[in-house]
Amino acid sequence: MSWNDQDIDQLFKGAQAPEPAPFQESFWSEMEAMLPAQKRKKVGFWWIISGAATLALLVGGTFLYVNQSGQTTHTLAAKSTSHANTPSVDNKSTATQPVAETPSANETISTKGRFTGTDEASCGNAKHTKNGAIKTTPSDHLMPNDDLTDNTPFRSTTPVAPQAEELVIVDRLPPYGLEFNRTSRFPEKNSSIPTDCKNLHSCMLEATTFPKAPRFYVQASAGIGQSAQHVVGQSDLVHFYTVGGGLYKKLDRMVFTFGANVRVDFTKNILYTTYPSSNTRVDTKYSQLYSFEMPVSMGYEAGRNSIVATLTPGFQTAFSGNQQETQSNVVVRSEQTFGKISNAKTLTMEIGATYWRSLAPNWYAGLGMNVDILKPFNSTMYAGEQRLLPFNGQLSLRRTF
Amino acid sequence: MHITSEILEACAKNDRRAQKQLYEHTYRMLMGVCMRYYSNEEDARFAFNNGFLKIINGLTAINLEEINYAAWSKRVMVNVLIDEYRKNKNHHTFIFAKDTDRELELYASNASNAGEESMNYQAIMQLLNTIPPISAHVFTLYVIDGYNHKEIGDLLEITEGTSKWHLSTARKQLRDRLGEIELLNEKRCAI
Repeated sequence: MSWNDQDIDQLFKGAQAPEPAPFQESFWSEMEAMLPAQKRKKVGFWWIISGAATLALLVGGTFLYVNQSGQTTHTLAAKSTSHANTPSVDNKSTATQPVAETPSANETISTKGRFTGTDEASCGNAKHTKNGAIKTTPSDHLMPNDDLTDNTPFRSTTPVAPQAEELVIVDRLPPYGLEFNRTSRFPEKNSSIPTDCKNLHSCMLEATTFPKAPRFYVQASAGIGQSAQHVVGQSDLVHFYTVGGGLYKKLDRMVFTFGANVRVDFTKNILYTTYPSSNTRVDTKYSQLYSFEMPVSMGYEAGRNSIVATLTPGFQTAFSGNQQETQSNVVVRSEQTFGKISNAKTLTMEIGATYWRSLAPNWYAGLGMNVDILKPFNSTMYAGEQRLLPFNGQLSLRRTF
Repeated sequence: MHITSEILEACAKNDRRAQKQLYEHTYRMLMGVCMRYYSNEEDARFAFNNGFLKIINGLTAINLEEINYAAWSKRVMVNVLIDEYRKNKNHHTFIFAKDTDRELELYASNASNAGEESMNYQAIMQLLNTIPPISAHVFTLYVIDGYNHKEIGDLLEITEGTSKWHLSTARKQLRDRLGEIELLNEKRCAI
């Protein structure tokens, strides 16, 4: 047969091409690795940033709100100071009393009427008579009081809780005022105070030594410890950093805290492997693990030192690291990745103890040791084996408010 | 599956689901074209993936409402295949020089009688491996893919006249090969 151009063209045109292999999902996996990374991967990062910012705003807002409430109470109490320095509600009646042979009465005379202390007998509108008697009148002759630290004008109509009034007296009284109250010749006057804070000395001690109001704290920590997985030939060391805050409460000598932390662990040997197809292997090496923790602690304080036991439940939220795909022992893809941790427990748990020492008022440094009792990477898909009880140590700095 | 402009727009915005849909569609449509250029299916798929990547990147630069996706994507894919050919030109030439005689024998064993029985696709395509690659590409582009000489000249960076010369040379050499194969088969039948 002789072949002309048309025959040859027709031979090739008419040749039926064999069907390519049917489409498989693994083909798409190969292709996906070549495509530009999706922007969606960055969304997780912004979720974390916005979540942390929201948390900080909530904690900060709550703190400000509570702090302002405290200031309002304090202002109200301060306004009652001049009230407290004037004749008390129990001392309204005008009376001419013989001057007792008390030093306080003499001292009052020496102040030439400028001091308006808490001595009932020498209060602002006391007048001296020739026979040494002191005549007290109602507050219509009240002298301006320049010596008082609080210059808030007297408002006799301001309703003040008796307890708040008494506490302000404790704050403002000079020592001799306290002494006087101890030896008051009018003990029945104090019977009007409705609480058990009848004795100013004990009241002051209580106010300064055992504050019962809840406080807040913020805390930053850095630590180093063992990885949850042990891989032969690789470093098991992890280092981590936490930032958080929460409630801080002291009851007598007991210290309680309840807080929330964000934590980043830097690891080297957490390796997660999957096999999407017979000759394909995907290795994901976690470089950073992101967690959210809610530590609860309870301890005993002695002077500047305290020891607390801490239980730290938390959950792992995400990881970032490197993902590498190998096909027939040839690396076809290697890229940075960020995502949810696969095939691992979300919940984590640590127990430990921390020694705290007060460095300055409201500043504390802590040295702690913790043990992981819930190991997250329990899947056989992670390289190595679980460590029995991985422990870590951490240094913390805390500021209370 | 019909490829709509919405799918193409989603692909241009890097939507993975849409890209996967388009990939499946394009695979069924153009993988055969890639198979003409590569005897190894893995190589063909690698070239196809490169072509698809160009298609995805190209979607952002064209008017998606007016596009004829089938024609446009085929053009992009062939361009990529030709680029691959240019990159590996020396390598292919070497293989051609070394394997010509052996492949002719192989072809003869696959095709018993080219004139009387239909030859299988692989045997026909193997014939193209027995002629110089540039001539084979011009022949494939002109006869099978339907390009004209100007387009082929643009693709292969040669003049129209050179393209025509390669086409003529390819036809002549293929005719000679087919004649040789017929002779081989006649001898076999006689024996």
